[in-house]
Amino acid sequence: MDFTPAIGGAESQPPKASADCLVLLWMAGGMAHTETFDPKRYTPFEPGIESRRVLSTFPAIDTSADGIKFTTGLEEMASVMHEGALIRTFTLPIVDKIVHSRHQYHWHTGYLPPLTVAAPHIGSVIARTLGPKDADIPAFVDIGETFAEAEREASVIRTFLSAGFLGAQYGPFLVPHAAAAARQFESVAGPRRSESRERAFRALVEASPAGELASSYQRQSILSSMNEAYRLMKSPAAKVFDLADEPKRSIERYDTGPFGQGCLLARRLVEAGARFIEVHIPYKPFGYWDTHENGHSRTVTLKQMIDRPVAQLIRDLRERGLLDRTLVVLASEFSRDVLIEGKEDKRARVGNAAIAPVMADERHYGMHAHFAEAGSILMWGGGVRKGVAYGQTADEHPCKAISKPVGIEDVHATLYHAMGISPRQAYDVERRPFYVTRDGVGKPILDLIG
Amino acid sequence: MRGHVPKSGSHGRIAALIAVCLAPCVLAAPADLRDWVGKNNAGGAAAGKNDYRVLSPTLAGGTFQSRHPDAFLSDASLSKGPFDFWDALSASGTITFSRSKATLDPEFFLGFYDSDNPRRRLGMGAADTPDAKTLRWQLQFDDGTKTVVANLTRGGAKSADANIPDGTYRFKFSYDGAGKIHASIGDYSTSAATTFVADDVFDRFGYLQWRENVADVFRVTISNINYTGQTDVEPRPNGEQAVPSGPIHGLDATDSPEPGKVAINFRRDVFPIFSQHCVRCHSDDEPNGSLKIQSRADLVTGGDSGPAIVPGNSGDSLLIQLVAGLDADRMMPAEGEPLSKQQIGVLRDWIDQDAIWDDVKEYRLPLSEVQLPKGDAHPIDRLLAPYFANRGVAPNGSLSDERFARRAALDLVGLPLTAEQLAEFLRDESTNKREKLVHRLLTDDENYAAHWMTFWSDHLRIGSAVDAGIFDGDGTKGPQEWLKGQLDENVPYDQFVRHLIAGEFFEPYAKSIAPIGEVASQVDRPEMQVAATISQVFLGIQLKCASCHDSFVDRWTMQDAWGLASALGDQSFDLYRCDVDTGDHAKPCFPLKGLGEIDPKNDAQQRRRRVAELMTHRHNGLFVRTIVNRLWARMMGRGLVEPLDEMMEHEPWNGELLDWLAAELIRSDYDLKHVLSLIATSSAYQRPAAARQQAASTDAYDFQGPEIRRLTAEQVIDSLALLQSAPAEGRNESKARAWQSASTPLMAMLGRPGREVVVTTRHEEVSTLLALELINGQSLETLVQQAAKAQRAGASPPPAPEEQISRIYQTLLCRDPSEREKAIATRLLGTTASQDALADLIWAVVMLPEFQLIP
Repeated sequence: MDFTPAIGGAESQPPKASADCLVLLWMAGGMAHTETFDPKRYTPFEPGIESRRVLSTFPAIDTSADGIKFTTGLEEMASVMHEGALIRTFTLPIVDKIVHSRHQYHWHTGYLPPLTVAAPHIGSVIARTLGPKDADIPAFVDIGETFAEAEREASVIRTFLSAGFLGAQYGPFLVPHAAAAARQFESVAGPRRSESRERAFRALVEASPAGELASSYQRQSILSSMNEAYRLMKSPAAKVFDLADEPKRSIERYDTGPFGQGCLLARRLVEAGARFIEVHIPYKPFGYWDTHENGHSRTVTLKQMIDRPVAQLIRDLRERGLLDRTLVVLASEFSRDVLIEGKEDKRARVGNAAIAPVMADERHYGMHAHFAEAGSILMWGGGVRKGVAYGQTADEHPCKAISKPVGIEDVHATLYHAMGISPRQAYDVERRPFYVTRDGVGKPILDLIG
Repeated sequence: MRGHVPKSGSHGRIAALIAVCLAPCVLAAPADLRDWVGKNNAGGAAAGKNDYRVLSPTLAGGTFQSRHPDAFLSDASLSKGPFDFWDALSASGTITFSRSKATLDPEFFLGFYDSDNPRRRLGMGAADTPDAKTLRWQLQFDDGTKTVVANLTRGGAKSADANIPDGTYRFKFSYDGAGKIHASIGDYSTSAATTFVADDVFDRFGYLQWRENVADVFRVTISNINYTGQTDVEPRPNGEQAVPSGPIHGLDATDSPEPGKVAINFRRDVFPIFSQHCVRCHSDDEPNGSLKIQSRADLVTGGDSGPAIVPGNSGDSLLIQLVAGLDADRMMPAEGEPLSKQQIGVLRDWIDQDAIWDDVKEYRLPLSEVQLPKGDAHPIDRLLAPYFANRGVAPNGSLSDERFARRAALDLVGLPLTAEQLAEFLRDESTNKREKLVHRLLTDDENYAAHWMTFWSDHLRIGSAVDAGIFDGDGTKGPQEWLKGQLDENVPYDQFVRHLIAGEFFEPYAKSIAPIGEVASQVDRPEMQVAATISQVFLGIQLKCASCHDSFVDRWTMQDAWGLASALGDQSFDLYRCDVDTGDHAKPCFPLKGLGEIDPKNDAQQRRRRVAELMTHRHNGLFVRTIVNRLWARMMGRGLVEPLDEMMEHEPWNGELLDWLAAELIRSDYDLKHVLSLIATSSAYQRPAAARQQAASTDAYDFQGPEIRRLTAEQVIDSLALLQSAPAEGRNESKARAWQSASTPLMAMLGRPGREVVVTTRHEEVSTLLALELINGQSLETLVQQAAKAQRAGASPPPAPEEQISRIYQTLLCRDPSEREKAIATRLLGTTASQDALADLIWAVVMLPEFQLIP
């Protein structure tokens, strides 16, 4: 039973879908566009260089798409760029304090907190609107967010990794560790106990006096959910979650760590019929993409985590004939700008950010400051135009969007459009419509899709 | 398109125009600025740069505050009504500008525009930002392809700089219609009568701002504007309408899209259209064209152009003619995108179906005097007897002691009785044993408080910093301790509310529910967050819609919402409609009228005290009705009024009972436990459980008894924790209760909310994902293992399997296992009853609907 009826009406007529599965590769922490997919003038490190002169700490490389360059370390992804599109000008409404928690929430729901209702994750909107693609695979699978690393901000991640007012049945099936995903379909009690306790459970249900519960839908839905869960656990589809099933060669191609394994699992899930999959570089304050210091060297490592598996995911989907109907998106909550943060020999902390005019130490070399005036989003497949870039960013500091800025509403409208969902699709909550893009204003970027 | 001489040679044109004016001319609507607004003017050599918009066309005064780029469209709608002004040749007024920091780069332009070509403009521009607090002012003329500029300098000197500090200045601008321009701001001015060759007259006054320069708060206020000039049309008396009344001649509404011929639901279908496209200009005190779109009567009465709708006849309705664009010059909406054909079809259907507008209901605030029917029965049952009699429902039928014990214990303290307590209750043979049990539960202060922590934390968003994390972390511990203290001591409800609103706790509380960082929108202000929260929780009304625009779905206006926010905080707020300044201020007020005023001259503390007084006022029946309705809903599964947060919009299914319970709350000196005790001891509460009804509101609801409810996440975990105390120990009072711990994936799936929003009714749906978590998740496995371990601890040798089975059943289900159940459990436990086997049994019982539900 749904408490949140969809609001129909002609103006939310769904567009024709060009994709039926969406994979979001989430670069939590703030990925600098000039260090990755939007290179600017390269300035190698030398002690005493002027900070503001540093635009990219990596040389540019050609990609397989005309007119699109990446930075070094992304050679594999560069080789599949002719299959995809690049938005260079993702920009955010700037609030004085740009914080990861709010902006990740914003990216994933389309709404900037706080809100008067709990906004659903885009995966939940898709799960609710389109339903599962294959009944045996959870419609919304979330891979790689362990919560463990987010420290005291874990709860925020939980807040947006949720179906909000749509209800938990549209929430994510959480797979914290791709390599251990298969175990989530096995009881923690182990196979022997699992079997005996299931047997006991079924027998006790039979024996339990149902009383007034007998005909209640609540009892029915508990029992049918249990049956459904057991069916899934025993179905061949559950094997999809088992990476051990994958040929060794394939594992090697993907396995750059948890994120790479997540991409491999995502591919298997796309094949099996998942509707929405998110794979995270997890959010960790001052970790991963949250590069507040040592930006250059840390970005080298991060590129190693993503380059091979993302490219392989695209190639595999194409080879299997799935890329045409699968939209793969790589994005981050915001970008970064050159800045030395932290006082001399102190750990960077938000609040003591300061622009130092020169870089004395290699620790300072890289993009460290939160920056919201431009950011890159990559898209492949699912009806996305091939080998094109959208929007321009300035070639000088700050490298902000100078044409065609794209807000999250339009990004979401584009993704929804591909999935066959109107940006004005709405759900009724507290007697008013809640639109899947903020106030229904999102406009798909038709230059990029269709 | 303008109704005068097309632009050609302009020199010496004024005389000719005056001649034209001698003949009264029927005025076509001014080519309004819709073509200018929201359109990216980028193109040609200037691609990407000239992305400017006219923000405030013909503004008669007011305040503009930019926020962030996506507020553009709404900023553009700011207007205090069209200015009756054409071909103005000079303007003067007062301008104030200020910036928070230099990096904002707030270039903008003040002056005249050509309505045929928005890129032609003439006036003063603030061209760049040489330092933090000054703007460089220039005279600018833009013919659409190039911009000619001349610095404004002090006293018109040749070389002085044009950097004018933040502040308030008189400005004056004049154009002689033949190329000569003079501009001044403060004592800065153009050097002499600067000549630009402008071959037409610029006919709109307004200001414009570069898109990329509104990145942050930059405030410009323009007021006291005077215009003088020649016009080629008949002057209109100030304030008269700019468009002729009545139907549009020569046009036929059959040209507009056909109605879709579907049944219209106002709220679902029509309200979003008005909300999105119309309300920004057509509401409140000075709506455009004097047309408000806030009620059916508004539309039927209409504005300057006469009735906007003719109910039952969409073809004759001006609204339809205008939105369909039958008159290109009066097309509505004036700003933003035109309505789609489908939307127009919806409006036509709605009008043809008599334009039903869900109007607000009258509401009687004071409690009614309720005469209790005579008799010996429980007062609630006496009040319900006629209800049951009318519906032919037999008032008898009662739960077994076991079932009653479980229901009452879970409802009142959130925990089932321990096996020992249950046995004691069952042994008791007195006739008032149930009353005694209720009393015992309600005097178990520690567990009562722990249980209701969950309820109040959901309502007041206590702990939001922990659970949602986007709120201020510093304020978390304080609010939880405060709330716990209030519940521990069972502080009278009115005092509790007064303390929250007007006590020393107010500020940490407000901080704890407001977002981290700078507010993105005025609605995020702590004062508004608190105003929306307390009005929803304590009054069952929703001000949050009205925090952005006058509500369509109920009676509240922005003035109500911000009046309460203003009363709570240190400042009076400007009213922003959907982030656009309306130019009005909120006057401190209490949303319910007639209880008393709030003196705006008082300080914040005094005003908060006044809010607290009005909230808990004896005549404020809504205050007490709302909480007793919530308690009834908690105990019975559904309120006497539903939805719980729309108290004023729906009739209770038993108004006498509601008002009697509310009066009882007052009579007991606001003792919530008294109300809970009354409900729990009634026969109504002790009826067998009823299946949940799907009726959305009370109108279609039949009370048959408490509805079946699902255990909360906290109740599931706390129930299991009861087993964690070894049998010999009895209840372990020191065990932490689930409300104290941060949420886990298991708890979130079991329905514990994130507390980023007020939750007064939790989701109770179960799903396959929840089942997978219950079957395979580590959290539950840990809990059942701990419970199993405790079963075996403390006694050597461990109790016999049969004893263990009974204890598990008694604790989790409040009953003894049947022989059949014992046999099944015994088979599972085997002879040794290992910890794993015990864990499996506990798990299996936890999976039973009988455990997960409160029948």
